[in-house]
Amino acid sequence: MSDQEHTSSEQLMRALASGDLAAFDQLVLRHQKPAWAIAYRFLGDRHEAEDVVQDAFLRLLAAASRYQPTCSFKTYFHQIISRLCLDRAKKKLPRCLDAMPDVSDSGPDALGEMEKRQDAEAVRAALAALPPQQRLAVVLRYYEGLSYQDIASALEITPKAVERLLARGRDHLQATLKTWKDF
Amino acid sequence: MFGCSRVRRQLGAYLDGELSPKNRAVVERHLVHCQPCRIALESLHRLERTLQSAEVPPAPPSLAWQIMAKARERQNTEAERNVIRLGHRLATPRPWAFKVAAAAVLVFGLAAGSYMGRSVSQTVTAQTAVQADPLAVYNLDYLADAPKGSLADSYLALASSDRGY
Repeated sequence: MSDQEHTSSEQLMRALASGDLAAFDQLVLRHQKPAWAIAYRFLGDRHEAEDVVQDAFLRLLAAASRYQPTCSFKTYFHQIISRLCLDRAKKKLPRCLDAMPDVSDSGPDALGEMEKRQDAEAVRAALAALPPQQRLAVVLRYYEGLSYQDIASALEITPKAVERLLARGRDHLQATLKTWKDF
Repeated sequence: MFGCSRVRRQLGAYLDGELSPKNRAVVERHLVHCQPCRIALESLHRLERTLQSAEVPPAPPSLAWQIMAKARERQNTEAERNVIRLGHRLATPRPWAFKVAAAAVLVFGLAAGSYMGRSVSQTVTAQTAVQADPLAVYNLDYLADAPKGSLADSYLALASSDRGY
């Protein structure tokens, strides 16, 4: 087990700034999962999510020498991902959702699996119908568990604006999902 | 005391744990007595649970390696670019660099000239001091006490006149 596994992400960034690519590898291994989850939930498309995650890490690499740990690494990285996601949303309309992976039609859990899949499809469609900023605020809050302050930093807006975005997002989602589930 | 519409507006932040302790207490007091607001809160709870039940497919296993490979490719390209940039910088003539080099050569020349001039003059002075004494020049010290009119005295007189003294 290497020492870097116990190093903070902020320290890894400093090591990366001095050209240590092993530190970069560690950052990728550590943060690729949440980065993927945000990008995929926001974009609803595997290829686009892959592109955004790759771009985000490469931006991190390019910005390492200018990195100042004035905020946590997580907040800094969320800012990068958020900007890339919103840029994509500006360029691409309408969103095209990936088909969910197939599940087998037989077996004891087949019904449960199908129900789960339908739920996920409905949620993805409801999320897809949100305006980009609302969608991103909802993703960061409900899937990443970020505080209003952290979402505000990621989206470069005020916490009050986050509260309003989330309120409108919840209203939209409830209205969309009402047809499928009782809210 | 908050009315229902104000409490409804705050239910989301209440559920997210983002209300101040004071507002939280006010909302909680309201909820005790207001069933429609409790139903609205339960509806938000359900929405949260539904959202969180939707799973995300795992990231492609090759994603991390692709990113790492791309980073190495970028770093190598950047290193090559830096070498090329340095080569260009060294190969490009710079008028100011010539001026600085010429000034440096001039200053060095002047300093070296001044130093060498000083050391030559010191050598000449020392030689002059030695040459001033013919006894020392020709090692004729042993003739210094020769009686006047002797052959040795004449030789000494000859040696002094030969050097122009």
